[in-house]
Amino acid sequence: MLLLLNSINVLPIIEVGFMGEKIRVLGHIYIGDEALDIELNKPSATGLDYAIHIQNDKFRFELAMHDFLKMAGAVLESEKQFLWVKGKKDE
Amino acid sequence: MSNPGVILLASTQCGRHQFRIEDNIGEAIHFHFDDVRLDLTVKEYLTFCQEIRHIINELIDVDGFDAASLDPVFLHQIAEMLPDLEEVRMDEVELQSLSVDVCGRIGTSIRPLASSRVVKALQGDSMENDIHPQTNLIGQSNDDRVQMVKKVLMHKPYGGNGQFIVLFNSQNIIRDGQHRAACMYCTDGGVKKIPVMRLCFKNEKYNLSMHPWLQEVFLLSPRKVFHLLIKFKNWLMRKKGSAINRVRACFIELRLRYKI
Repeated sequence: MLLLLNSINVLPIIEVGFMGEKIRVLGHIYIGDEALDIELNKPSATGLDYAIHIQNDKFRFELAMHDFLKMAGAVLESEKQFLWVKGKKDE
Repeated sequence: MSNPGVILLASTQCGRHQFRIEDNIGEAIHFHFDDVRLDLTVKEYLTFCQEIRHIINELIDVDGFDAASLDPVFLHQIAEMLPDLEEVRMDEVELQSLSVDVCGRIGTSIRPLASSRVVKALQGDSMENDIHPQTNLIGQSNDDRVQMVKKVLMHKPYGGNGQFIVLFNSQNIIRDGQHRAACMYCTDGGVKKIPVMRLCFKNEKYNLSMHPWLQEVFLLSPRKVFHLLIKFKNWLMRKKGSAINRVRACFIELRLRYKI
């Protein structure tokens, strides 16, 4: 079924491919009491980007490394803007 | 209680997906990934940011790289380039040897720091700086930013917070820190040597062309050439049309005057 969906271009390859091999755990983030691991994984297919898994034993979110970096950059930019808006930090 | 306002703190596009971070005043910090929302308290959010900074440092395994030594707004802009980073090194350059890239009507051009828009603004001519599109802090104008950087540099030494002017590869074009460089240029003169941070990428990637207008002329895509031709044809038609109309108007005037 997945192959069929892929063959008619309904899903991109990365969404039906197998998860890459884990390289290392980069760190942890906490949302409430839940801890989530941030893992660096090998690409799921040749020519693709490294994958980042944000996961614990109940949840997994996968994204490409360049997307993760963009999101991480946005988080840090938002922190600077937040501290500025709250008047906690100068340039 | 409903929140009295929402401030968009930052956003980015990941392929077809939109990621936004909002300060919902009186409620919490919201992370939106398309239609999915994550709520964090301010305390959780600030801890989350610290963790993310640590994770970026783990991910970009290059000696000398530290996410805290880059301005977060700039870090967001170059986030996609970071996997190609090979080396981070400190260097010393004279202020007068630095250049800036400027977005003009015919594309990007490279100018020496001495004639940059920020230096001009500090010398009293702020017209170019005021209309330049740039990302500032929320509620801050371009002029506010110039004045703030000037004020900060008067009280804190350059590089005191671990953040230096950033250059790419072996080029002397400022990629981050134009305001700081311009303030120091105006107060200390061009011969002063300052420490800068060079980010070196694989195969000198992400260098800027020193003559971007040549690219504009010679590296036109067929699509762009087609559009330029259409524009030229329309311009010619307008010119031709207006000439014909002028002649026609003269004839009508003559006919009316002499009742031909």
